[in-house]
Amino acid sequence: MPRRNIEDRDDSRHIDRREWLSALGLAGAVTLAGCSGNGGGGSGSGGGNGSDGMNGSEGGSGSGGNQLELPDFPKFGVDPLYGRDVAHTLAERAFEQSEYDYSFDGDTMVNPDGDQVEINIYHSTGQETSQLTANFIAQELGQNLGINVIVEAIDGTRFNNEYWTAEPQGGTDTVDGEEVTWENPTPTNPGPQSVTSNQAWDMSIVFGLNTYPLNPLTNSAFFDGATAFYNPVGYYPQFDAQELFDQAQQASSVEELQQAFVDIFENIAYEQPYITLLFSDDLVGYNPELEGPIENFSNGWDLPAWYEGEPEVSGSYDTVTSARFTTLNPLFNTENGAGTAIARALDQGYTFDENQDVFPLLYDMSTEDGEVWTFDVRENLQFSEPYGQVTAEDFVYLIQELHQADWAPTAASTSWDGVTVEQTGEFQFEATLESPNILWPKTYDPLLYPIPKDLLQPYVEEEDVQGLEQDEELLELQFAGNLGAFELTAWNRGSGTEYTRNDEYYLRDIDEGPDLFSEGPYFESASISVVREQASRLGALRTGEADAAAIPPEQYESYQENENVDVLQVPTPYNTIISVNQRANGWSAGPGNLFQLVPFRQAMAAAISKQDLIQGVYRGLASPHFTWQPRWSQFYPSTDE
Amino acid sequence: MGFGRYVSARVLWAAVVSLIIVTVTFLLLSAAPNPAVRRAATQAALQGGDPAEAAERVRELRGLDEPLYVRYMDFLRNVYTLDWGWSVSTSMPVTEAVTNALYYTAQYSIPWTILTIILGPLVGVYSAANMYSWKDHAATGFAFFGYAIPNFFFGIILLLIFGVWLEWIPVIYKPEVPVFSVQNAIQLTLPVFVLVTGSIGAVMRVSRNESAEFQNADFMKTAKAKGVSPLRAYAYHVMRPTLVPLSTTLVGQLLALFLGASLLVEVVFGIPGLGRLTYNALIQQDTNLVLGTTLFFTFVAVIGNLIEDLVFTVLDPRISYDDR
Repeated sequence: MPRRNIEDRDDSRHIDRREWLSALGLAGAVTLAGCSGNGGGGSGSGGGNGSDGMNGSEGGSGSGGNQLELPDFPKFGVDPLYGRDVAHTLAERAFEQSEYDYSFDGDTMVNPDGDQVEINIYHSTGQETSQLTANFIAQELGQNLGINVIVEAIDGTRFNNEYWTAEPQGGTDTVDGEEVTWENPTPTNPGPQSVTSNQAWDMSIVFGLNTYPLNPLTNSAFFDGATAFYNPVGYYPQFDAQELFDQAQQASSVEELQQAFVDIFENIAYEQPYITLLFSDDLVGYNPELEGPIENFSNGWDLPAWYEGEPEVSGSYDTVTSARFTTLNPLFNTENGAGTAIARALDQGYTFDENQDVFPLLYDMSTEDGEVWTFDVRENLQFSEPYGQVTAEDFVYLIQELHQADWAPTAASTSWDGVTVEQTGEFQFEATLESPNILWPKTYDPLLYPIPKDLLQPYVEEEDVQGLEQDEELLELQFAGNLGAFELTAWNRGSGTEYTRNDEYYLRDIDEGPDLFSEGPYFESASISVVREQASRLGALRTGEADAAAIPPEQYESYQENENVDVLQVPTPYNTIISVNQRANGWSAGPGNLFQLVPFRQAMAAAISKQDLIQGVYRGLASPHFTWQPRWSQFYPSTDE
Repeated sequence: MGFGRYVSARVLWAAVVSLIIVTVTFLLLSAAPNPAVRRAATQAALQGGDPAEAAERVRELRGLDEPLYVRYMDFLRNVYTLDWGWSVSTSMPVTEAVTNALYYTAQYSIPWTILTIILGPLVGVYSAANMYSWKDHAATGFAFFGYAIPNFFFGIILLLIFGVWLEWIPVIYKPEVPVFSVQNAIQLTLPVFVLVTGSIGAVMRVSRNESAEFQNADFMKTAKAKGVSPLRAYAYHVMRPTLVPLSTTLVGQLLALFLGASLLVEVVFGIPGLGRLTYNALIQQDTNLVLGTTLFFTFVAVIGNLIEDLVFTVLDPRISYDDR
């Protein structure tokens, strides 16, 4: 099995990589052989044969035996780790590790039958940027690795259902030399590499993933071995991810946490579990009359203080979006777009301001040790009649009877696993974590919607999930009282939501935040229109029918010159990556699966020029992505900078 | 066979056809894995429970552990009493989702159908009456242009010109506007125009060729010789026989109205109609809604065929009721 080559290969390059590097006297750089290696059968346990079991002395054909140095924090896809020679060198290392006879015939990569390696890549249908990116990748992999890449479009939902997720089966496999069991398989990590989705696939750029710059501990969901919640590609880390994340969890200060993450992010940059490409900014076009939007990750947190022209209540704040909402039931919604639609009429516990600091909305959170957290609920919160005052009891009931109940699959159920909650006053409750986490609020886990206890009680007593999902008061946010800036007046399933101003909004009476909150929101009404066609959304922005809409990068320049539109570049934590299917139904080009081999993924990363992609497709409106963190994050490793 | 018996036989046959379709649908559904059961098993696994037990509980809760014939009878009752279940992709009952979407589809498809049915044959007969003149060429050119240009592309171009540049019509469709209002007429102008130009071509060409056949028929010569006005001659003597073969096309047209052709136009103009509803239901694997929309189209098709059979006999009394 090719996978075993990986496992056997590399005990030395794990959590303690830095330790043995220093033992070898190598400061900050790992020397790797051009195209040799231990063939996968090497012990890998002796530090002497190099981090990847490659001794650096055996040259190879194709790359002229070039020595290739990978630093602690390798940055593939930019000079000097870009180009045909680097990619060939790394690919040949993968061939050595593979049980099967892959090779280069001139510049062409061929499989054991002598045919050119041909694999496919999926991109999102109807999205020009996605299509251009896929074409660029195909071109680069063709030129620098001699792979024939077939570009195919697919609808995101279909890809998710048939390719990306699978029936959770669990199972046992050898990962990194150890027997590992998938104890809690999920549709996005259904089991070992042998457990596959219905449909076979090779590569995809359909989905980007969150890199959680506010609390990178959450990233254990992707890389924490068999316990990872989210591992559709079937990645087996070659470093002890679980232990590194556990260590990071123990950090008692941000500085300690930053230090703990250096190893994690360097390992991820090295192993390329997903081929990291870039972080593109969100480009949002706004009505130029609008005061409030900022070029910041937290853009929009203070919407109640936004206004048009003068800070007086007038007009309507209208936006357009491409995706319709499946449900507005706050208990079950998992979609971003619907989350925005709910947020217009119902606040959650807290938000993040422009400095990425927690800004308390419904409740404030405090802790001394990171283990016991106290929630102080504001006293001026009211549900609609007949539910009355919002108290700590509503939140505690919600957590204990729904989020922690095994019969109710609420969206937040995984967030409250293992947390002990206790009401300590009419407006106060405490949550005790299994292990301390000083950044708990930044995980979004303790983020709650307020739901009246009396509304939930009948469903809880009957354990009636269906009734809860279909409850009209929940679906149409009829209980929201003074808890949102606007009141939801209509939800047309196909075309969006409409709102009117909430004259009783509680935020006006709080002490924190901008002074403008005291009279907000400054719009008589609001709406979110679902318009699937991009040309129509942009048309609405140009004519002023919409106050805000996303702008595709290829049209950035024309909108920047348009006086009817202000374009803001808003950084996001979502990345653009190539997901390579390391499961048994990935790699359709021949026997084995080269995607499972670290050097092959490195070769792919080295074959694609990040700068050319950013300039050519994203018009320079993106930054290169080397590890699982954007550059603006305080947890981005600063080594080699 | 008399007309009454003929109609009764056709209606009975339509009922049998619908029953067969519903039965086949039931068998396919019962053979397929149930998404609710799958979800429950996944949820149980996520929270450390027993997936098999959770799946069993949902099966019991939903009556899936009952014998096949009991489930079949339940299914039949639900289908014919319009209890089509809950749509998870729209969070409302399926019948309500279909009715809501139909409300918006009807607003553009009814004017579209009426205009196509009226204008298509009229332009066709007009072309035939002026065959090979510039009027014929102009009418044919117009019909071919509409037929050839993809609806969604034409829609985007018109939206750009009249919505974005000239700002005569709104870019975003507003569903809350009253049906019979100037605002609604304005916002539906472009979708109806695009659809009419797209569908008129086929009707126009068929009626042009059909009517060309009758222009010099003996009964037209007689009519002309008797001094019948050209308008009356074309309306009574040419149009009527022309419509007999055309009625097949027209019924097909009526049915297609509600789905395929309108999806892209609904996407471009943001109309929350049946096309988009069906498409989203398919994409999001909303089984109940897919079933609901499929049944809806099935019933429309069955009824459409019934109407077609009846229209034949009304339009052309020479068509026999026997052997049908």
